[in-house]
Parts: sequence; C-alpha cells; structure tokens
Amino acid sequence: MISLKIRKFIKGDEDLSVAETLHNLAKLYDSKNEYDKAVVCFKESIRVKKIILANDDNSIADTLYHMGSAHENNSKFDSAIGCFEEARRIRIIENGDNNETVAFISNRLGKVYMNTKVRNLEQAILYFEDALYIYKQDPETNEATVMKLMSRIANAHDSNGDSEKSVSFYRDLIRMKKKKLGDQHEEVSNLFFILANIMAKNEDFNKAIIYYKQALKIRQVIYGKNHLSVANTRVCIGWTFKVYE
Amino acid sequence: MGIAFCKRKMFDEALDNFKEALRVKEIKLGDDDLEVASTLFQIGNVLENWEKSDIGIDYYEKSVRIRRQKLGEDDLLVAKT
Repeated sequence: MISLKIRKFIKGDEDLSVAETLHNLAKLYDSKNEYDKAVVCFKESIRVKKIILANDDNSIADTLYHMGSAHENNSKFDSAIGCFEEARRIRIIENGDNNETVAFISNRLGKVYMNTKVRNLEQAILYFEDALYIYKQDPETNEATVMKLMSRIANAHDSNGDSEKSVSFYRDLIRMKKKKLGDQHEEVSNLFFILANIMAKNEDFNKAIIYYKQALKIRQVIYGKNHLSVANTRVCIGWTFKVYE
Repeated sequence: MGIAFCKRKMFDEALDNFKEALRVKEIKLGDDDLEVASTLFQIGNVLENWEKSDIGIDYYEKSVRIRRQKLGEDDLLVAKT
C-alpha cells in the first residue's frame, strides 16, 4: 500500500508501474481471501492500463484473468466467466487463435462451466475441445496436459449423457496411458473401472463385466489380493452379475 | 438347459466375487464393520434369488447382527435387512 502511494505521488495515477503495483496488490488480497478489495484493485489496474496501453493489450488480459480467478474464488461464477471470456478474446486478438495462452484460458473456462453452480456441459466441452485442439498443435505440449484434457472431456460427455463420445475418449486415454505408464498401472485400472461404470449405467452388463475384470486384474497385480480396492472391484463385479441374471 | 446353465454360472460368479470381497473386508476392516455387513447382505440376496434361502438366511442374520450392533435397533438399514 505504501509502495503504491509513493508510485502514485511520483508518477501520477496513470502510470504503468502504478497499474502493475495495483495488479500485484490485488493478487495479494486474493490470496488472503479479501476478494472485494482484490476486485477493486484489479479494476483500477485495468482502468490505468487502458489509458496507457491499447484496449486489447496482453497485460490487460493478464489482469482480467486474475480478476476472473478472484471472482471464482469468491463463488461469483458469472463474473468470473465474463472476465475469462474477455481475457480470452484479447489473447486471440494479440496472439492468434492457436496460441497456448488461449488454450490455457479455454481450459479454465471449461472448468468453470463444469461447476454445478453454473453448469453448462456443452459450453464446457466446447472450451475443453478448443484447448485440446490448440495443445495438440503445439509440439512442446506436455502429453500429461493433453491426457488431463481428454479426461475432462470424457467426464463432461458422460455427465451430459453422451456415453458413446465419453467411451471413445476413455478408450483413447487407456491406449495413451498404457503406452506411457505400462499396462499394469493404477491409472489404467482406474480408467477401466470408469468405463465399466459407464457400461453398467447403460445396462451393457457384458462389457461392464469385461472392464471390471480388467481393472481387477491390474489391481490384484499392483495391490495384491488382500486390498480393499480389489475387494470393492469384486463387489462391483458381483453386483453386475446379480443384476445381469 | 442353456439358459439355466448361464443363470447358474452368473450366480456362481456373483457369489464367488462377493465371497472373496467379504474375505478381504473381514481381514482389512474387521468382522463387525458395516461394509462387511453390506457384503454379507449381498451374498444373502444372491442366495435368496438362487432359491437357496436356507443358506441365505445365515448371511442375512450375520448382516443384521452387525448393523444392529453398529446402528441400533431402529435404523432403516436394520429394518431393510
């Protein structure tokens, strides 16, 4: 606060360093859960930046993104979405459609739309798919980032009642995880278990049993026979056989 | 004959898996855990559907004993068992 007052005194209200200090101060308020104060500072930072910089400067997108985070932390999801969408619009103008900075905000928007308070699964899927598309173009993208997004898309399709698309993503994920982590890995078994649950939900009990058994086989290898996760998988298999008959 | 065989195989599979789950849960959680009670109930239910109610009763009784002990006489789960 003292630093900001000195900067304002020396440079006047409308200097970029004042805007940067306001931005940092806002982030600090956000980290201390003082969201209203954070938003006031973010807004003031954006006001100053807009006087000095072009309206669509990346620096404004950055402050908008952080202001969106503060709103989200304060459970003001509509305001958060507004900030993130405006930040994304600026990133597209400044950096192009297929830039990693756009993917980053698209992913964040997808996550907000998954929140039950403002749930819009179709919108979430659109943003996740946008992020996935961009990340896949970039040779420097970490494979883990791609897989995380695929998992989010699969989950969103499942929640949206589109099992076919969900299963397709989960199958691709299993193939990728097996390649990266090996056949006998906890994450592979978890994906088989999720697939089995989707099949059971859709009353495709044959396939559900096949996938549960794949999950069981891996879990027995990695945890041993006397593990609760193995026992719980067996309960699911038992259930499926019971409702199947 | 084919259908009866299939049905029997499914009961067998269901029962084998529930019993193995029960074995592990008893080791890991103890004989009187509510998850053990739930698996005992499932076994009882499979046996009942398989028209082996006389054996199923044993499992239901064990299940209700644990649930009574843990939840009290008036709990809904106890009533359901």
